[in-house]
Amino acid sequence: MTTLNSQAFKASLPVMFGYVPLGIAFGILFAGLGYHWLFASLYGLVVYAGAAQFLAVGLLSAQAGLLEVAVATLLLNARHMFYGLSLIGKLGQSRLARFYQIFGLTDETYSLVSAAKIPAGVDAAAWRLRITAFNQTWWVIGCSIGGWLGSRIEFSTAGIEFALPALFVVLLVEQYRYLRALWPFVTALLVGLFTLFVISRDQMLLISVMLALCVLLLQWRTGWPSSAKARQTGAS
Amino acid sequence: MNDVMDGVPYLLAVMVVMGLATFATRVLPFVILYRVADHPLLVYLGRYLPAMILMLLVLYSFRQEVQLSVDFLPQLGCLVLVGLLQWWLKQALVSIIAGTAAYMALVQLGWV
Repeated sequence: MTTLNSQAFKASLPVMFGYVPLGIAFGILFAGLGYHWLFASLYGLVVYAGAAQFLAVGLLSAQAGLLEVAVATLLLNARHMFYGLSLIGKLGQSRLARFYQIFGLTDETYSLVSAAKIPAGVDAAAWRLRITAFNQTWWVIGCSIGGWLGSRIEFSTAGIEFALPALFVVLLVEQYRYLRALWPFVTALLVGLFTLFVISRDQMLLISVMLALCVLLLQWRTGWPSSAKARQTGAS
Repeated sequence: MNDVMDGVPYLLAVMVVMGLATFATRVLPFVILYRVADHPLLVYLGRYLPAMILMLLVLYSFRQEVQLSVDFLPQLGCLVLVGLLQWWLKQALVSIIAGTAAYMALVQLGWV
């Protein structure tokens, strides 16, 4: 039992070094809104999604409607839909444990629990559950420290909202490293600029994602560019 | 301070909506997609859609500011900085902090 806990703890340490600083950045950003810092911890507990929480700060300060919050969150986290596929049937018997592991399936947790390097001699499902719990603990600690710091330290945070697009660019570069193809990025850029300049700036996200989906479906039907399908079947 | 206290129900509503939407994206494969997980179209979308959505999210972050003029150069420069750092160093935190610090400096010096 204790070896299971300590092995999961050790495996989660790299995530700690990522989550605590990123959580602090979120907490500081959140504190700029003027709410009590404990709400930053609560967001880390209930929402538990890095990029979405950064997005929340922008949406909250713009007093966005709840529908916009729902749509933006769904699109932002759409990549998670493809994570669970490789974990089906691997989350253990307990309903509550399965629920919690699905709730806590962040990018980093996925990268740990989907890896083949589960220590020998431990119950894999129990190990995954502990990894999920340790990772969320690191995240909530980061959010809390950041919220607390942000509510006490007085310094100009003007421009700190750039952290969110910066996070997107980081994920974008990693996507390119994985795909090794330029056309998805160029197509999306053109579709996005077209939507911004010709259709609507305020409703840009939903419209442009719909257009991008149409382009992908069209490419699927016509088989262009030919590299797309070949790469996809080769990789899967 | 009053308007902040008035905002707490809104803050909690946004939190609940966002929590449910996030959970929905994570639970979907376990309740629906497992039936069609092997369908080539789903594999195809799963491969290319996330990259396209991320590109659109970058544009969405600047939806009020994107211009085909030099006014947008500072933002563009900071985004390129983040991309290059991530390409070379592969340290997400370094890339994000450096880009954000550069942008904050530009904003606070009045250049943006």
